[in-house]
Amino acid sequence: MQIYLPVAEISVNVLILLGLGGLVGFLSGMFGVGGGFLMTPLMIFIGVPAAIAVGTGTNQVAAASVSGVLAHWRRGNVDVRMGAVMLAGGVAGSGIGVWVFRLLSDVGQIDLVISLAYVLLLGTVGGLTVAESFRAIARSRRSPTKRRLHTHFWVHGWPLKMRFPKSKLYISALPPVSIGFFAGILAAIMGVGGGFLLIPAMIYLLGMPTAVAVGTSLFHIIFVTAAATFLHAVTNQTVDVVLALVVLIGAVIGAQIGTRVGSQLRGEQLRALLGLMVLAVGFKVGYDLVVEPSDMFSVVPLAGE
Amino acid sequence: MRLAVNAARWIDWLVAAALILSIDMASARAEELMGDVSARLIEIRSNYTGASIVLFGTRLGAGDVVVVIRGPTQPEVVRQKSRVGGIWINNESVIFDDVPGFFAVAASRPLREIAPERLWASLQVGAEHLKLTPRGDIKPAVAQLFRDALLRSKNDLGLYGRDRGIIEFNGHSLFRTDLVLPAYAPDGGYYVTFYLVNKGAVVETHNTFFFINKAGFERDVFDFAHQHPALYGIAAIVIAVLGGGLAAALFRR
Repeated sequence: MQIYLPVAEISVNVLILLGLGGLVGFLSGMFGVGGGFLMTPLMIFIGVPAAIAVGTGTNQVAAASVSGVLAHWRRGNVDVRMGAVMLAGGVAGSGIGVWVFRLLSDVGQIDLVISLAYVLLLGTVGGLTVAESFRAIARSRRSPTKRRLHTHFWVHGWPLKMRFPKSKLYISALPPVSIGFFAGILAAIMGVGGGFLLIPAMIYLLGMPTAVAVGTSLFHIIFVTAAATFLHAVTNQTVDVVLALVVLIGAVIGAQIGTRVGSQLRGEQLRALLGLMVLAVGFKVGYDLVVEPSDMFSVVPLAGE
Repeated sequence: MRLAVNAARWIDWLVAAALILSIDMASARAEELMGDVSARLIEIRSNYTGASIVLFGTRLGAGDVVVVIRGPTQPEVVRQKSRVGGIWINNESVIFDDVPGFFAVAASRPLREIAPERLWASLQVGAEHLKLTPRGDIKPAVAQLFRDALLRSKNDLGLYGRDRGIIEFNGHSLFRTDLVLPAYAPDGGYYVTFYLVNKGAVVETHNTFFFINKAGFERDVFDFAHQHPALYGIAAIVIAVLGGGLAAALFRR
């Protein structure tokens, strides 16, 4: 059964879209990640133009994050003050990201930059996850070690100090703003929420408690991806709500199954599996860049005329 | 079954042709060539996967019939990849103005049997004869390379009908041909030109047209996204928030 995507202007099998959403939802439910970093490249693999995949990806991640944040909100795991400070950077970052995106589209290099960004990101995140989980698997066979709850890092000496009662922190506002800014750029250029970078940065750089970091990152991602969605819609007209909705339906159902399956598997093995999968997607994107294309030429309508 | 379908097709076709003939007879001067399309408007809806349309007409004079279908034009960029530091990146580019988004030709006999090549070149019959001028100051050899790539790309998408359509005759005067429009055919106005060619020269031409348009919901979404991008962006966010909220409420454990 084919469905016509009105903004992408292509016709795609609706079952493929639902399956793709379901797969990403399943993985995000199982591993507790947003899944934008898998959704956008997979949409490109099935033939959605890269620019539409990114613009629509931001919209889909916004929806998925709303759905995810509510549970954290009920448990009191959202530090609104911290999220708001990060957003000051995040919204600015997504603005710059969308502007750069437009610039790269006009010179015909956006597909290349999206691919390179994905190779870099998926390679790093996948590699680190695999390495970390293998270490954890090795460690679990030996005696458990204690980790310090809170460490003072160099960023804590910066000016503009603020109190964040929920995170039990008294730190400079500059590091959260910078982290938000970087995540905002990623959201705009790659169509991801960036939770896989935000959460470790919030835990290890800012020293936030893990549960609060997860809840607050979702809170931050909602607004950053909403801003990126709006800016992509205005600047590039690359947000396809029909595509976003169909994929979201698949993702919501997939996430429910994934959460149930995930709760029955061991954490380290789960993470190793996720890392390998992320590496595989990154490898595929990278391979397409290196392998000689079957046609050296590509044809696209001239934008803006 | 197949016979029944064919019979129904021919009856439709005869009715349409008879209609044209009657109009034709009513007019003072008998036209030597008349042609029309089976649908003036093709609507793109959510289940759109391309369309099929019948081009038909009557030939009263002597000669062969050739029909050219030309879709809406727009400027297109052709980019050439080259290897930089191990990866393939877009390097050179050439812009062509007024590139038809769809182009097809159908004829009652192979074109070379009907008239010499120079006639087809002057009429731009056949994608190889399309006048595509590169923007700016481009060397002819380079322009040719990019032009070939443009034609190849359109061909691969099924937009520049690789195979010539065949015009079938029923008796001497009634003719028809089926035109398949792929899902990638752009929306807009399509110009259809029928030629009556006898002894290597055009005796008469007849022009008509049809439209491919997004319709209903698809049209509304596309127009909204392009005419009110800010409102569309806000709507997309609202839909995302509602969708995400609904999902959370449905599956709250």
